[in-house]
Amino acid sequence: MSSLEIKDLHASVNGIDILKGLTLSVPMGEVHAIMGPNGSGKSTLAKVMAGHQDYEVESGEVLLDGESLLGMEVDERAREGLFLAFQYPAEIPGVSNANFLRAARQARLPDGEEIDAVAFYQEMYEKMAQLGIDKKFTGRAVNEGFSGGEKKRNEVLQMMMLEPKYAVLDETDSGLDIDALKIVAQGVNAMRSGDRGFLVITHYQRLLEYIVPDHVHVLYEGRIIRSGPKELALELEEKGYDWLKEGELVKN
Amino acid sequence: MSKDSNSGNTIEIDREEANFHYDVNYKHDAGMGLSEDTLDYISNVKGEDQWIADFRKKALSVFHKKKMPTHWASEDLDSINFDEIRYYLSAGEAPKRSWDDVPDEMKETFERLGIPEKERSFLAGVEAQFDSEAAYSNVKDAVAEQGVIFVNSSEGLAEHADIFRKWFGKVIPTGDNKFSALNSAVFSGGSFIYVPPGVKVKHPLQAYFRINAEQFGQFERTLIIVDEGAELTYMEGCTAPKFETNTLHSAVVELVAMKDAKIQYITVQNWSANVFNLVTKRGLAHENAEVRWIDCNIGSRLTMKYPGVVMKGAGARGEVISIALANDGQHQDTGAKMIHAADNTTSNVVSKSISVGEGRSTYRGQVHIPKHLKGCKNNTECDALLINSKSRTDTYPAITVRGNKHSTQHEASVSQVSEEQIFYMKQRGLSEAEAMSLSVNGFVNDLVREFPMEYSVELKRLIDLEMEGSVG
Amino acid sequence: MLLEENPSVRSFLDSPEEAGEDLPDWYKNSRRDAWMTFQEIDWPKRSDEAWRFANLKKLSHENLYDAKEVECKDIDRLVASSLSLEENAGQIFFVNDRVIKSPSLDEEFSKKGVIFKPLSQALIEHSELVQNYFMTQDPCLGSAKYAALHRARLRNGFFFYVPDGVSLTVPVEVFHWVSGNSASIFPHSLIVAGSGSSAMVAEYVTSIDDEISFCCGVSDIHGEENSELIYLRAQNLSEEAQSIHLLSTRAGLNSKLKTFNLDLGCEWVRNESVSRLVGEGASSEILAVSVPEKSQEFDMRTLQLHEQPNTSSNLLYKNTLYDDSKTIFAGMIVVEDEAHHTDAYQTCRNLLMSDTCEANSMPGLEIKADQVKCSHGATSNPVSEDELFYLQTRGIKEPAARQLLTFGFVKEAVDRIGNDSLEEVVLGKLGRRFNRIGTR
Repeated sequence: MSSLEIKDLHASVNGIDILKGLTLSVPMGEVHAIMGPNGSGKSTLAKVMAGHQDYEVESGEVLLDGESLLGMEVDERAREGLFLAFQYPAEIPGVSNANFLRAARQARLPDGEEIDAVAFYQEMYEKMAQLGIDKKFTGRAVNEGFSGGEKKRNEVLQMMMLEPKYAVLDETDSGLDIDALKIVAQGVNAMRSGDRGFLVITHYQRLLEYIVPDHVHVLYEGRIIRSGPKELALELEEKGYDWLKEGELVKN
Repeated sequence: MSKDSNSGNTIEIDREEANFHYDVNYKHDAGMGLSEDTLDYISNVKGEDQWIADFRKKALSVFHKKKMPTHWASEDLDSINFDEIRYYLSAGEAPKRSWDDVPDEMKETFERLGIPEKERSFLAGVEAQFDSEAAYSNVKDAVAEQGVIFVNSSEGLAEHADIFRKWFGKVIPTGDNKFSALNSAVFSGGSFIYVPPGVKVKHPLQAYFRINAEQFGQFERTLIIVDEGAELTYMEGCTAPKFETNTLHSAVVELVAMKDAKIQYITVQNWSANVFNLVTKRGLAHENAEVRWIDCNIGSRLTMKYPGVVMKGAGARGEVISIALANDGQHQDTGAKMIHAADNTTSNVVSKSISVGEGRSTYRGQVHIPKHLKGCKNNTECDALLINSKSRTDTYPAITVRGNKHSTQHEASVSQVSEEQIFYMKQRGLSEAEAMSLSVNGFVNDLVREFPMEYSVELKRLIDLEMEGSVG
Repeated sequence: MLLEENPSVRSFLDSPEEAGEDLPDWYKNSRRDAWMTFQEIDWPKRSDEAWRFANLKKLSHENLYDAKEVECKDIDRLVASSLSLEENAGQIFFVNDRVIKSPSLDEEFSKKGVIFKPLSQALIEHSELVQNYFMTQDPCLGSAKYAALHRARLRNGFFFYVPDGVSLTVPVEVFHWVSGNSASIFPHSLIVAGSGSSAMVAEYVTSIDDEISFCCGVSDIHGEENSELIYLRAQNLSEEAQSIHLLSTRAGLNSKLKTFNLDLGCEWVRNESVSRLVGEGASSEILAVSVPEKSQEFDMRTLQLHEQPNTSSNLLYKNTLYDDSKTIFAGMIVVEDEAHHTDAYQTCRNLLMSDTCEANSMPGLEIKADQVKCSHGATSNPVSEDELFYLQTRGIKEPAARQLLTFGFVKEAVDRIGNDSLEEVVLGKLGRRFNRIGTR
């Protein structure tokens, strides 16, 4: 069975160790949530998986369907099927959303094959409608002048258009009001399937009411210290993170 | 100016060396160096009237008197050796080169850039397969019906002196600068165009249609007069590299837009990297007229070009839209000169430059709005994008405003494609080079749109090609 | 008349007076060298890039003399008549480059080792320290000849040194007055903020009478590691006077330097301001306001020089031009090869109040490094019709509305000083000037 596996990952940034032996496995078809207090390493995990150059991997493995991602360039990992929905998506002036998506899709086609423009636009408009994104956004530069909510929705649109094998959502809910949150969750849920896995990184439990996870993991000081079913999220909400600080080891 | 072999510059055709030679026997050759004899030779070959011969001689003495402007311009100018240049060469008839003589890499570049067949021959200097005369005559006939005159400089001054003589050398006087003086002494080739009142020429007139035996016009002289209410778009140059054995290209372009007329002059310059490209371009806009320069500079070793507009009539408009790309060993020194000489005139300058590798781009601008005028406006925006740490960009504008009835605004910024942007795009599956290209194209996007469609597609591809080798 | 005159005059094109016996040798040599240098360099020409647009005819050097010593009859009245700070940490007064009245410095600070003395005194008592910093900055914006003139003829100035870790919460003040016909003064200000220190300096240059005079001053400011300094200079010499002032700041590692220059007087002014960011993390703010009227000509040349990475600079110059006045602004930002991650900004805004004023702007950039954010902008506009209209719809009459807008225009730069009492002084001087101009 295909999976996303992280084994004993140690990573640092600016000489400071952040991930200190993180181990996690997300089988295809499942949605796993990662929660943790600020500074636990949640964003670091996302960036390290994507291959951000500021982060150094000291040891450990990240395998996608058995293949090590760590040796690959950022874009290679993406083409292998990894998608990162950024917490703070970058703005790209002068490059329209439509052109950007086309280029991203084109990058996945073999040399010489061209995108069918008509089919592409049709698909894009359909998915934009599902997410409640106005058509005029196709011509606007990527994320330029977008509100927080619009940016997050744009991330989900890109995910829907690129159909990754594994999607890592880095605090997708931050900065969203309840309506925007519901729409984003809808988009994500529509993509849940046996062929796809999700890693949802979040600080608050609220998102998980809409994107219901199969498993919840707690990240603390760079390691997973506890895993459990979705109810674990509710427990955390009630009792706070201090409750888990007793160095409990991961079960399973 | 050595090429960094690690840069993997994909335009691997040896742009610096121009290491292919044409075996052509030139019928007319003025020999090396510049003297009054050279001028006599040129005048004789062309059968010029005395007043033109005198004009040339006067210009030569002005040229000798003037200093090289190295106190503000690049010192690289000092490496021009005026004695080792041939100032006039012509094959007499169409040169006989064959497509087989063209180097393979060159053919490949044309392929990658998607240059149409017929242009390839022209650019490679191949005449036999390109029926330039026929193409040219077709265009000429089509517009002649509207009363448009479209000839070369010699023909213009000989056959239509009544129209052209009065403006010749008036928009850009001989003594304007050292290189306009040089051009005034040895000019040949170039386009002389007259559009009668009210005629709106639908299709752009192109320089390459105007081929004649004086190939690769180094000292082109162009004069375009668009009469009242008429309109014209003129294009010169192309995106593919132009392989040039001549090292000095010093052209003069004078535009005259009469009342309510519109002239749009589009240039894409992509000379090989051994060429000094020093051009003086100026337009004169009368009442409510508009002169627009759309300029793209990609090639050459050093380009110095500051298209200008003198807004002489009330309500006139001047605009310069400029894109410059400077790669290793290149210096694009460009800008704009806007001289307001009447009320309610408006000028607009948008300049975007990209410095790649060790390329250097410089913006020099001048905006002048004198006293006793009212209602004038200028807006200047110049942005520079740096791709690598060794690139360099400079901005030197000068804006003079007198009086409180005007407003001017100048904004400039320098930035580089940010690491965060590249990371974001790579995470969507684009390679580093593709991400860079997208960003760079995004940077110049709204300007590229000003170019006619055929050019804008090629331009984008050319920018991609230039970027490919320089990333990493 | 407050003052009486003494004889003994020396034209400033004659060789200068010998330096006092008791001054250190290095200083005396420097003075002599400077005079040689002065004679070797050519006078600036309009065709020099660095003097582009300048009207050099106005600058004549005939008949200018080293300022004579004058007897000050009523110092206290003089002091009281000038707008200054409510509270200060120390004061020094000069008339024609001579110290009048004993300089003062709060005991609290002198105990901590703060030095605030006339230069003539500091040269003797702190020779080595002064030598480290005295005129170590290159005059690279075109006035090398004047820098040499200054070094050769300077009579006095002040040395302000704040030792490591010391903070002065209140500014020190220095007053320069000039009196007499064709008098020239060469005030020198040397300010050094030690590591981790912070201080503020306010300096005023004023004419006592309406005579012709010439002021050729140099202010060098050095901010060592982690220091913070604010320097304010206000010039209000007579309408017949001329002034050339060279200001330099050198910002060390993580330091924060800020300078503010106000020009109101003189018929001709040239200010050169060089700000060097020599330590990583340094930041420099360069502010100026000028209000030229009649036929005043103010020429401002600036340079923001980034030599190290992660440095930032921000320049804001605002000019309000009346009558036939003229301003020239030439600002350059240079980012050297090594200075990655530099943020540099430069803005010059001109408000044109008459038909016949003239504003020249030459904002420039030379970028050689990577990952930099730089921008510059220059605008020249009349008072906005829209804004005027808005104020009028609130019942304000046009002349008053115009005044309000003009004041608001310059206030933006003043607000950036970041110290209430310094801002108050500047606003006071501006207020007086705008009142005098009235509703033109």
